[in-house]
Amino acid sequence: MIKNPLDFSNKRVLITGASTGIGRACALLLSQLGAQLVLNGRNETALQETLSLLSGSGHITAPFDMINTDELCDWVKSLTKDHGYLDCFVHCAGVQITKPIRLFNQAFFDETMHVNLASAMAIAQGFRMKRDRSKQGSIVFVSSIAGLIGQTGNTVYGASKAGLMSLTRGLSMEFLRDNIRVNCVAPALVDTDMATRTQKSITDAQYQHMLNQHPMGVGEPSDVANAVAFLLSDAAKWINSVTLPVEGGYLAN
Amino acid sequence: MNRQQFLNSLEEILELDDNTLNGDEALIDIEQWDSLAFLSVIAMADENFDIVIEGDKLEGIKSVNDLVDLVADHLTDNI
Repeated sequence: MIKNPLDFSNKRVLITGASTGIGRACALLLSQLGAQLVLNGRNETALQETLSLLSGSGHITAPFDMINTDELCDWVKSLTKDHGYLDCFVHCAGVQITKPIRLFNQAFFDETMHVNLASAMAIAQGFRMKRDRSKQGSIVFVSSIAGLIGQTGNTVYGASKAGLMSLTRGLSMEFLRDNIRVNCVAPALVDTDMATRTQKSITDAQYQHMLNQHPMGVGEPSDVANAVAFLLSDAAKWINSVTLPVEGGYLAN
Repeated sequence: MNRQQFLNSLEEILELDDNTLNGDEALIDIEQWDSLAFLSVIAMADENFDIVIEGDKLEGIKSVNDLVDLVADHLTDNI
């Protein structure tokens, strides 16, 4: 019998930012592929909604305030103790605020860097410590093409997402001995609440300009989830340390 | 934030000296009013008042007082 390399049966996956958008799409797809999920997000009601949409059973929600970086490692260890080893981790949690450099301040920098980058690192720290090392572990960070290109008013977000790409390369080497792969996806504009908020804060002409930069149109959350599932799965067992652009040809434009 | 503090924030965004705006200024006459200032006002309103000023609404305004009107309901000295 041929084993499907995209089969996630008997794999437990932690997803941050699972209450909406790309995180929710990842949860839906991975549950359809047989994974057992641990869903994290800031909005408990929305997390419950994600939970209600999942296929299969054995999924749980694990809301946790990510504000204290130093508590995240212990939080992951307690999840493992209570619910069993984690095999995979997807970091979708992220914040984006359009803010030109003239409004830059430390609080803005710290919040963006904390949610988008530091929490990924702290959770990866806990993930590495408590796991079944006989099985290959896999981490996927959801970055953004904002980390590869320059966008007016989006510099701190871009820096945090470029940081995730660098984190991918560093951790993938550091985790070799732990049998954990670390990869990253870099989506362009995807039809999510975050994109709607961006659209509202600019003019129609500016939004149209943004759309024109996407030769295949705006992406769907499931487009990104497909790439995440692939990199997370055994189908990618010899793929490590890459950032995969998922951008409908944006970068070729 | 009161009206004067809002004007002071606009001065900061527009890189003007303190207390140079009174509200009657036409935006077209302010050299520093550009697309980045535009994005900055949206970000400032979001941060201070938790409101999203829709881009098209901002595109239609002509004066500093029009900008004040956009956030007037959220200013502490609005009467």
